[in-house]
Amino acid sequence: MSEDAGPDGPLIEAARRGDEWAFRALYRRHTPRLYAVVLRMLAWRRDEADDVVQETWMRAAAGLGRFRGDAAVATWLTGIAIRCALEALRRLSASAPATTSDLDGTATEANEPPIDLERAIAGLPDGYRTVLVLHDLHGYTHAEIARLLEVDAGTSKSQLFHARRAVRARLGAVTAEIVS
Amino acid sequence: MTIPPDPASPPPLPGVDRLPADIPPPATLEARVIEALRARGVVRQPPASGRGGRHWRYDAAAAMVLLAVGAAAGTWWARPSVDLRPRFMLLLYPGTSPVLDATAEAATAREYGAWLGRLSAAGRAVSGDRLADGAAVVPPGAPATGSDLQGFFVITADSVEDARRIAAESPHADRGGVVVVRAIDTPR
Repeated sequence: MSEDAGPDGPLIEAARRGDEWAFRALYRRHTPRLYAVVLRMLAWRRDEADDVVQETWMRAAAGLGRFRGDAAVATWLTGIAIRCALEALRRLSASAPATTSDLDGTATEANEPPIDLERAIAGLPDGYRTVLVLHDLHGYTHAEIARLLEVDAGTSKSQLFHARRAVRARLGAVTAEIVS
Repeated sequence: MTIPPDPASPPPLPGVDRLPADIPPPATLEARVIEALRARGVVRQPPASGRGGRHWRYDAAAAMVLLAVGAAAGTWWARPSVDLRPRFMLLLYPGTSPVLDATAEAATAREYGAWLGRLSAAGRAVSGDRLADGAAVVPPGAPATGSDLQGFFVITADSVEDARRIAAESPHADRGGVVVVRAIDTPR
């Protein structure tokens, strides 16, 4: 992953002391990336994405004392956000089981992604979508994904294979509709 | 599940590299997050005066510096520009400004002077100024997004990376302030 080498260190120190300005600065610097990852993982369910981003910052605040700077702040925060998003996906799946074979089954009209490719990705089953979003859109390696999802790297590769194929099929179907 | 061999793996999706890595969150989310952090006692609310004394003192120092540098450089930001390189705005937001005593303010003045002097000598500085506290919002009741903007510079740079490097070297960033770099879209 590419890292923002901005001067986060002083902000982290100030945030540990409870400085609101530091939190706001960190929020503004990192939330657009967190929001992109979470929104896509959650198939553009905006309300849930807002909740997940808020929970991410709550956990980050609680964990500031343990953050030792071994990883970049962006990496640390994104890891928290991904775990929160996975928990949200599990909750959503338990409360309203997704029709994972239906590529149109996830994104609702109210949360419609802006373009066909985003829409096709949003329509993937949760597992495929998570791996594709992390690998193809946000630059995570299969090893990193395997650690985050607690699966092996082979599973991540397999999920990506099926995810890409499903998106291509979806985009092909859209193109065929337009042509006909 | 069978793992397909790599040669059979579909190539990356066309167009996926053009999807944005960042998506702006809703404007209301920041206030919601900060409020939740306050409720848990994680952050201290700034003084009722708004930015708080230490930020104000930093702003005051920065304002003096800008005025001093402007006067010293004569027409530093009035100089007509023939530079056709891209222009960028450096938007200065509050960060973790230190408490400034007289010695620190003098040091800040020297840092701004040196930084602006280097930019000016390289023909990169176009304009800049400090913004007063407070903001009028239209329509009434709309969120005052960006109302904590403290000041700005307009610079020329070769690329957004070049502009970002300049921003990172600014005294504002050095002192924990946040500098947002935006490209100006109007061609010259």
